[in-house]
Amino acid sequence: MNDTKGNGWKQTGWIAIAVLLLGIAGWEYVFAALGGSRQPVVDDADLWSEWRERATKAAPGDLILVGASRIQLGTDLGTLERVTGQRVFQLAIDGASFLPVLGDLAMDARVRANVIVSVRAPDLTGKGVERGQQMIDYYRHWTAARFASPSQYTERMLKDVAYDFLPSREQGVRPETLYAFWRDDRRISDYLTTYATREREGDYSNFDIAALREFRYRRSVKWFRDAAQTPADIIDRNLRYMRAAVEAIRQRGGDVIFVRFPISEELLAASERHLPHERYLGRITPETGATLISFEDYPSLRRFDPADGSHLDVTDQAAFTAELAKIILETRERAR
Amino acid sequence: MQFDSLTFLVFFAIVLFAFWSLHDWSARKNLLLAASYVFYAAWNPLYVGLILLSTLVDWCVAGRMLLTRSVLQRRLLLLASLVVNLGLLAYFKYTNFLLDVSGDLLAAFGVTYQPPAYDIVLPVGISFYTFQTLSYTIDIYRGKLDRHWSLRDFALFVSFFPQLVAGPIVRAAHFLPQTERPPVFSRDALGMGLALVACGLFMKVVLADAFVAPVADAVFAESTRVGFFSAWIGTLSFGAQIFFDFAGYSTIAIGTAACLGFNIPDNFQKPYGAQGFSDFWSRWHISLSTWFRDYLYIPLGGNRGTTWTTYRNLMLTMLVAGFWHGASWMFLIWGFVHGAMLMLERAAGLHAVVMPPVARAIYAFFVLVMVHVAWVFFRSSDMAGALEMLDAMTGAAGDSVYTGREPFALLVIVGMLAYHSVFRHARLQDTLLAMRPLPRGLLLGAMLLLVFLYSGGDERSFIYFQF
Repeated sequence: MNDTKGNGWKQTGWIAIAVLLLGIAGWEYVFAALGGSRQPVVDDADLWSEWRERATKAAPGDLILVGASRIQLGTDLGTLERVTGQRVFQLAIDGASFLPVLGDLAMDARVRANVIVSVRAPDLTGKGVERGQQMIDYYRHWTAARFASPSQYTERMLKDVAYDFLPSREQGVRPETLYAFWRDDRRISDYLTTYATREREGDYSNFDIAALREFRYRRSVKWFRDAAQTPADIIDRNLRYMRAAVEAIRQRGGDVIFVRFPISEELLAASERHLPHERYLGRITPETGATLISFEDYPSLRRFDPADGSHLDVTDQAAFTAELAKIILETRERAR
Repeated sequence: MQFDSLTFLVFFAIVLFAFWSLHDWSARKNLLLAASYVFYAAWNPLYVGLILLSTLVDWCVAGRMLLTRSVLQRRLLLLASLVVNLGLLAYFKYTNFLLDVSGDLLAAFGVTYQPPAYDIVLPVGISFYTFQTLSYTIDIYRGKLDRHWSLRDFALFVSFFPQLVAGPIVRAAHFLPQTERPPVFSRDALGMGLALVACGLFMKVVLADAFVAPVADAVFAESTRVGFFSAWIGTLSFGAQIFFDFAGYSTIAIGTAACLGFNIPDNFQKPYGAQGFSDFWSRWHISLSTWFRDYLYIPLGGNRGTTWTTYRNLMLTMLVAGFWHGASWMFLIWGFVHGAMLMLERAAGLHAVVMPPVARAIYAFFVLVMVHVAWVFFRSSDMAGALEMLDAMTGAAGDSVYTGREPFALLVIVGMLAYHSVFRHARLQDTLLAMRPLPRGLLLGAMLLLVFLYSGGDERSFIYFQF
């Protein structure tokens, strides 16, 4: 028989829909009440691809920034442009190794600008290259992606509409996270603000800084320890790769400058313990020919103490960038 | 497009509404065919040509086979179908692996050869639809099917979007007769279909992706040796992840098809409640295991020959089944472990049906342990990692891995094992039908709400939100 009323699917359906809609409404209400909202700019693969494309039009002397969250949170693009007199293109990828992007820029004959690379000791082991490579793959199919995978394009469009009504989904806030905030009577702080230029600011004023630094320290020490297991031949190979990238960029009139952004004293000590300078970062200049500006060598940089041990607070961003910019200019002068 | 995406939600709503709005059966089938090709093209429009090629070749081959009585001609036609379909599969899935193996073999003889690495993108669903089309030509060759369906109906069978990407692998003999007469709209079928879709989404998005996958990923990504507890919870989490992910997709496929009036057979039946290795394979990825049984194991001779040929056939079938999953030695080893267990079970004459309850429970526990030992090979990226994990599982010292999600994962694992053991004969559809509307509505509503709560976004920034 086709339509037996005995199974009660109509009632089931209405009850399920009611539970779902009430649940969603309640959830979004609580999210908003705790301070949650939609991000004005989402730092996704599309935004990165736009800036990667713009970097191909950078003039000689302009600056392309490569690396991860330290350079993204630590650099005030406006200050850098003002002090250096050059345009700046932010291509850092949160949580990613710089290796794939540096290589990609080196292989792109259109790129003639200077490249500033934020380097961390574990980067030389090659860990974390996947995310950067994904971005590059996405960029390479960026225009074709609208045709090669139409569903990705439509999914982005639909999500953009959905997130206007369901902002909690944009950030993927989970029940246990929101419960913790509600239980502790705390507000969700939009500590990260991303701009259309891909510049980011971190406002750590609402955090329990001691607990945050402890968390960051433990996580970083595990990262250093894992990185230290990497065989020496892989480090050698990556340094050769970096050298080739530096040479390729120099052949087109640009230059590469590596920068070690500030970390806390305790993290610096831990980094030295597991990844000694002479076996890792200290090899960059002799083996690639590029300059390394390491924060611990410059009092004007070392005086900045990252809020969470690894990332500068927004209140230090402009001042740090101004100091770094002067050092970059001096380095460029000496290179001439 | 993925089942758990907004695009699919919109797509399916449009197709469902349009399908039941049309009165002409031919028009409905045309709609489904077009929708299925749109569904596939949404991944990559260029690869539509491959599924079209496979469809046309096998439809033509089947048609010619039915017209000729020459055994030689029929064999040649079948061979053509096998070569085209398996050739496509081999090229896209196994080229780089085979090149690497040839390089390694030559190196063993002192010949230095660096094979080229081709950037070959695996077309989505090729492992599934090639097996589906082959079932048609093989069944016609064998005389199991004695009529030729229209190109449109056959193309619909091959490309039917609910099961195109990740199965179940549906047999022509099961699906094609359903194209002969239009289904009549049934609120029950629609309700059950949507309920299955909700259950499938819950299994995949919540249980697999949110609860157990992070634990499994963290343990298997650990570069240093993990400890006993972490090794086991990581492996059990992976066992749960692969079940909920795969069974979730299959459940969505079955539910989606049911909404359109089509019946697709179950693909999983409480596999972790298995009381033997044969029993496990009658419950895990049923459409694949029966495909290999009917088109490889039985043609090889099955268990009709000597004991040793039976063992050979079992092992060969499981090796091929392992290799089907991916171009890697690890999948072959996974297949080998299962083949060895099936052989041992047969050799020892172990049948749960005749065992006393305690012995049956002990054997079922042993099966569960060995299935998860085999998962270690399936999940690990190389042999060294797999052996290290197995070492840790037997008690070797190591670091503990803690993501914070372990309590959720343990809850899911224990719940799953208990449910599979206690309700090993119950079908999900029967369980849903037995419930009264209110608790069923509350359950499905809660599942959908959890799907909503555990979807979307990148929680990277939220790592800091505990502070």
